[in-house]
Amino acid sequence: MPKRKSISQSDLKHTLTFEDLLGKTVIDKTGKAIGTSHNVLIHPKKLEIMGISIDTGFISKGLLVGSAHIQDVRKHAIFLNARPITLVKGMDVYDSEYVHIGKVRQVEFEENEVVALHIGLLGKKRVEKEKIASMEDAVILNVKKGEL
Amino acid sequence: MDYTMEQFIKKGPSFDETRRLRDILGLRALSKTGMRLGRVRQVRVDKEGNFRGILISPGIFRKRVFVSSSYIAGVEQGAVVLNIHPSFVFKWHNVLSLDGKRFGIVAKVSRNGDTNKVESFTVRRLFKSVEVPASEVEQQGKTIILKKNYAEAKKHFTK
Repeated sequence: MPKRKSISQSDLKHTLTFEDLLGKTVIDKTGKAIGTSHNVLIHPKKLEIMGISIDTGFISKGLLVGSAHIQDVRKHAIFLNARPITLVKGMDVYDSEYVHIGKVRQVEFEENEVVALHIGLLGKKRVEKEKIASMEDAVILNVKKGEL
Repeated sequence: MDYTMEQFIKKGPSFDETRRLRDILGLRALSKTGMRLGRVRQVRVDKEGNFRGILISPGIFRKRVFVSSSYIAGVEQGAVVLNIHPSFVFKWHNVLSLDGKRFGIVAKVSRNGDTNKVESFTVRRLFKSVEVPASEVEQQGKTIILKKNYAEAKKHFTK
């Protein structure tokens, strides 16, 4: 059993309870409300908070966000310091000349980093991350449509 | 199409470096982050024939928007791209207090003259509307976040 730090009265002033973390609106770094915090994930041995699960709606799958991406837990909402990668799904994709190619159908990622995007009606066109110039409200590539 | 023609150019781009006006009409207008703003409906030039801006139609039942050339980053093959995130997109966005509680919804954005600089937001709350200066806003994004907590904001803006 790992040795844990004992807690004092003064420490308690700055702690949160599970109630403070559950049922709160979760807002990403762009200010978009992405869902409601549903569960808190704790490491069974270290007793550290690993992250939270987010309920993103009735039909959606939900999200898991690691504690490293939680910027702030405030009275009525949880603010993240990042935008969940999976929210890129459904975004418009433009080539380097801003010709519309399609929408993102699937995101391929490894260790929280985007590796590739699958775009087009059936998601058949695969675009590696090296070809992505920016991803904000839309995905802008650094290649022309014909070069894909 | 191969045009056989002569060019008379004192200074400025050649024929091949220019585009037809009608190719620009109907293009998408995008913000600097790639957000769809609408379609280009008109291209405006001044008396000297200089390109001065575009008229964007954001959609049915929405007011058209004239954007001057100073806010246009480029006229690309597939879209006209602005170098700003125009403030009209903030209309109907939620407004949250600093502690994350919903304060209201943006009913109107007041700007500094015709520039894109936001002076204040008219925030519609349950029974009334309040004016929130831009200086009281922490973040202007998909949600407008105030610099004050809910209780302070309610006291300050609804007095």
